[in-house]
Amino acid sequence: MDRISYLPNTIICDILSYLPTKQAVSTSILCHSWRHVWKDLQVLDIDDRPFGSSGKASFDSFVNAILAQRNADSYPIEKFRLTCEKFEEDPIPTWLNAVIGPHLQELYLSLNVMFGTSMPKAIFTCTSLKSLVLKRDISLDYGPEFPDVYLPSLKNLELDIAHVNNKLLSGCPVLENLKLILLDMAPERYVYTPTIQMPQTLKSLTFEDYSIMWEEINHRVIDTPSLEYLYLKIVTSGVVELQVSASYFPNMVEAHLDIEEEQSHLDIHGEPVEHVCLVPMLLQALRETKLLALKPYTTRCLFSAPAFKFPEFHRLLNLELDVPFFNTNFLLNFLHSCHVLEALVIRICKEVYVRTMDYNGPTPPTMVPSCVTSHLKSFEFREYQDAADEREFIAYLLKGGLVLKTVTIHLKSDFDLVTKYNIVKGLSALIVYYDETVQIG
Amino acid sequence: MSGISDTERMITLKTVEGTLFDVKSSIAKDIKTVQAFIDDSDDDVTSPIPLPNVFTRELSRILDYLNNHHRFRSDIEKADEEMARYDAEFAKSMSHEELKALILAANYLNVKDLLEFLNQTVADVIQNKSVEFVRNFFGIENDYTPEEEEKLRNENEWAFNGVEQD
Repeated sequence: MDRISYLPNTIICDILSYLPTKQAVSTSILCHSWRHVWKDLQVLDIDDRPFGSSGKASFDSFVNAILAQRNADSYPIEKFRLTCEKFEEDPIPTWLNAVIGPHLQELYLSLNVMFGTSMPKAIFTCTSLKSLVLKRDISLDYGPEFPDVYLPSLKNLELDIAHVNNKLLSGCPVLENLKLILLDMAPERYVYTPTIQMPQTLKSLTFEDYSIMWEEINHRVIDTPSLEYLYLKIVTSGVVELQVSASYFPNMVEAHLDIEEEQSHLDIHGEPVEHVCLVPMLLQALRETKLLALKPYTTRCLFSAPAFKFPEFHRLLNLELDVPFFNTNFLLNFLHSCHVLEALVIRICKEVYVRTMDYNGPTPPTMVPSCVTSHLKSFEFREYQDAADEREFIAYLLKGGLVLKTVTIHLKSDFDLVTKYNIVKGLSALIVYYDETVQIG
Repeated sequence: MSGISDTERMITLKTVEGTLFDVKSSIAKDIKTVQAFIDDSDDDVTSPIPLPNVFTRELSRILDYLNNHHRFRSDIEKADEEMARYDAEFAKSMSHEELKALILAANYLNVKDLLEFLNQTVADVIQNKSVEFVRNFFGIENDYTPEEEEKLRNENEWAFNGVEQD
């Protein structure tokens, strides 16, 4: 007989653990020897979306039967994923209590239910847990006293829910990867957290904060010296007391900043107030990064920051800059502080901000920035609008960029064909004497 | 010690058919069964290590996979992209029978990453397929009588119903 017929059960189980549990269970119909294989599965992935017409009763009995019939004693659950889009939350805490145990390593919950499901407290002392992902309607509101948290193995935590508690964050001594998305909740479900302190052990942090409270103190502390990756998006309404403290990040590899105000608030002179301290402070803290990406609002803060001076970026290789409008002096000042920059991407995002703004910074030195003459290999210009200063800047880089290899220019999409043709013709005149690859799209 | 990569120790593996493969010791480390054999030997292993359950075709594939992954990992830039592209090609290049034979070999040799990848590949192949397709894939004879099958479907109604037909 074909030796291949006999894949051992451990392998079959491993294969089945990559399938939705519903399909894995249905393999019991294949033949006698497969009948009970699924009961040894230690990875369950349960989703109510395929349960359409037969509805809730069918889904509930499916999950109940799996949990009741599986060989829980010999094969405790190691990974559990539950996605609920349609049905009510009643049985979920019971299921979770059956799943949470000393062997559970990964828990993923994404619930879209009418009332938030309370997370069983047992999860906070699950010492084997390595990864915890909670999305949407899961409540961590335990009244005045948050339960004690001890998660000594937790490396990955993703929370996309109403609020977070510092006791949870401080109970994870080896946490490396944190993704925290704090939503703007309806007032009756909102829990105000004045201070959020990121665990010091983090290597990767994605933090999107839409929960900044009006007229309250909102303190966000990012004191994480081992951080290598940062994605920071903060949306505020202007009338808030926001403080962000960030340490120095010597190991930073990649940093994305998207600091945005929904509407400017006016000071006593009727002038809009920007977060002029926050962005410069963050840039200073990020000065060792290898990749830096700034969104247009964030760049705009630098335009108006009083007495702002770019930090010296000694390791920055990639700069991706979204600008609300083109300004040569701003760009040159930035380039003068980037000593080894190899790739520059500029994108003009005019639509996000109609009011033009003057750049208040100093006039840049007349010499060509050293990164342009000796490091810059690739330059990409997106949403090019063919203004005189934009054209001059490209000519300037082509002339000074002694090691430049690739220049890519994407025209703003709403030019008509004739205009496009003329722009391309004009640009071609700039580049005819150079060997570099130039793409104009 | 410097320059160790130039003078890296080689280990010889011998398949069922008697084919010999010379393998760098850094690659052999990923083959846990071989590494355990080396660790258990008192002296340096000089004679070929026999692999009585592994055929030439499978061993050659496994070594290809490990060599390429080592190469990708040594070049940090774009490592993930290139590895994903290589893995996709690697999976596509095999028939179902070859895939299963390779799983058995990877399981015997205890090459953890490869085994995980192959099991995932099989799961992708059988996902959302009919009962008959899955039986064929694993070479399974249906040994249920029609009555037994009907009974099982009724008993475990929750497992087989509720799926919306598309």
